[in-house]
Amino acid sequence: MDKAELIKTAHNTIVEADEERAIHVIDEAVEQGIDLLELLREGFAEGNREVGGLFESGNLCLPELIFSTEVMKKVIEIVEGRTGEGKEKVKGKVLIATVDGDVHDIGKGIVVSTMKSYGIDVIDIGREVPVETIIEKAEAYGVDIIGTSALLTSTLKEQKKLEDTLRKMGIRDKYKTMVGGAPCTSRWANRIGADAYSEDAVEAVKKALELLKK
Amino acid sequence: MIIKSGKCVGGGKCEECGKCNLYNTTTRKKKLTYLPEGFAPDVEVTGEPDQKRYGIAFDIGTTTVVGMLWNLNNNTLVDMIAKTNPQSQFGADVISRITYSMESTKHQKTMQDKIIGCFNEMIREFDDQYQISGQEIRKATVVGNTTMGHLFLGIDASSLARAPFDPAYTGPVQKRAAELDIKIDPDAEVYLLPNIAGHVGSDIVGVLLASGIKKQPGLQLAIDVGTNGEIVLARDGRMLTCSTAAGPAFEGARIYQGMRAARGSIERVRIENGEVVIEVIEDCEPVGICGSGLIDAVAQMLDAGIINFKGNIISAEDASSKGLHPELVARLRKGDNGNEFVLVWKSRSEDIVINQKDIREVQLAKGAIYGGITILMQCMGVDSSMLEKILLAGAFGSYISKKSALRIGLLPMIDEGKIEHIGNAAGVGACMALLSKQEREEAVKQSVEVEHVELALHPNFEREYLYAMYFPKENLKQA
Repeated sequence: MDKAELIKTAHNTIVEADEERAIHVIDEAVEQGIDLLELLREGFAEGNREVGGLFESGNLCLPELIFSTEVMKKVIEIVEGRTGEGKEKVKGKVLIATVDGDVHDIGKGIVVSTMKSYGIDVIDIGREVPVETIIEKAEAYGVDIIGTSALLTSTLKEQKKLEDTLRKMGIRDKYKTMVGGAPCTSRWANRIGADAYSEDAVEAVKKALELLKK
Repeated sequence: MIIKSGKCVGGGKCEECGKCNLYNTTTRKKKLTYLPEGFAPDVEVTGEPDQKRYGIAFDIGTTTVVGMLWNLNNNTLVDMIAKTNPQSQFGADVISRITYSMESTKHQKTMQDKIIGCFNEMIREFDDQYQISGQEIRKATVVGNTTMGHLFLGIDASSLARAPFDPAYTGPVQKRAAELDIKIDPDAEVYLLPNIAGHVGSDIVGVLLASGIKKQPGLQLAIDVGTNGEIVLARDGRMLTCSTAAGPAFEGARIYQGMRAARGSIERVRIENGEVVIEVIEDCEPVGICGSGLIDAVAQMLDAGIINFKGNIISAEDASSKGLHPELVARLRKGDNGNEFVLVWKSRSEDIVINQKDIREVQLAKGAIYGGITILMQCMGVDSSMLEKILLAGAFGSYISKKSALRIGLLPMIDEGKIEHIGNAAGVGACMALLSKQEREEAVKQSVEVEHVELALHPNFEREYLYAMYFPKENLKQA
């Protein structure tokens, strides 16, 4: 397959959640000396974007979204493994976590994969992460953005706690903050003083890239 | 189209409205309250023989509260009332209500006052109708899910809203009516049955008593199909339970034209020979669709090839090329929320439809329940082929068509004859605890014996939940 076909096939493997084929595409690209990051961006990531759109419009059900996301995760893992030197293409570092008391992470997982496919370095520290740990890790990794996900109306307040704690510690200006999750809204983000709110993974990338330019 | 506030928006014309969530659902619930065969009350009647003695059993459902009045002189059910839970204005689900009550002590008090107020309204109605004075009501028992129990007692429920979802207290709770401001004999004992664990509350303990599932032979499954979707799997005395947070889709919420089961809601749907045949509660002009109607609609649409196993509603073009009946093709169109299928054509108001988003809501709800069943069976090391019985409890559970429930994959595939409706089992359990000291002791015993599985923290749940969102494929006859 030539480059254009590889990119198209890469796109389809995500839409069809075909992991085996996705891996073949990567192998072939390596053989042909095609830039994997380009393949990721133009092929796989576009497939990811289409899947997101299909899900939003109701044309894809949740399991299909997840299965596609899993293939995307695998693809990113492989590409990252093979392009260790490509780190200078990294646009910035994001630390992401599901807040304390909350175990939901499906959406967060999709955000992580999508961000990575756009060349953002993402450190996912998991679920049920207390604010203190989030800050500790943010400092340790020296990230640019801290992103939090909350899926219960009852755990949403952790996002406010993060803002308040960063301010109290006098390090709020060191970071940009992003919030997301089903009960989260842009109004909430404004109220607590977060830098950005995103409704879905694609918007998250858009906002993150904007924040990283600042 | 779901009315969220506690105010009547139909101009008070209940007969015509049909969408009201204030509608009294008493009649439907009444048929579902019957004590199990062989149950024998054992509570002693003390005091003067001609003294009137009554008792009330309450079942605090997230969506509907039921009060059952018993004449304790002869242990007969006098009457019962069902009312919409007035906390509904603060949220349809337990998490929203906990969040609201966490905001301040005032809010927490409001939540408690709402339930107590609801109880007192029922008491007043019983008093008026049966010429009773509240003082003559000498005992009360209460069941409800864990959150309802906490809010009723005015206890901080915030731990239930975050992992690992622990209650703030364990065991049964006994209070004097005066302590809770319940307008019956001030010294009357108000007994709240114990919760099991996590979100699986005293209502499920009620189901255990009413179903007697612990002593039933072989592998049995009991499901309280409601907002919280609790499940009990029992085998030769060993019991496992979980709460699936199925969501209010089965009660009509988040469905485009969904409504509670009330006058004007479509409760049965059949698609045959290109025709859509419906049954409406109280036989009037349909205004929406309730849970049982929704399940029927989805099952029929699956059989007719209108939805595929992934839950996608077919487009009119594809339906036409697949050779679906032209009258069914005519009902397919594109709407604001994806493809939709018209159930009822209307001339002067909006057509009644099922749209793509509605199907997704059903998939989420039934996926949660089926996923929960799968996990419990995995934990017990059994599979559905070994099931002797499936018991469907709860008001919704009682009206759902067994055939439709199987068709959409809400339940594991078993012989229809093995499914039994057991009525409002939680409420019946509360009645049994009112009338029998032995049952009360049994309730406490079993609440501790049941093993709780916290699905949110189980490693396999997410995967099973996702798979369960698909509909069962079936070898269908072509429409």
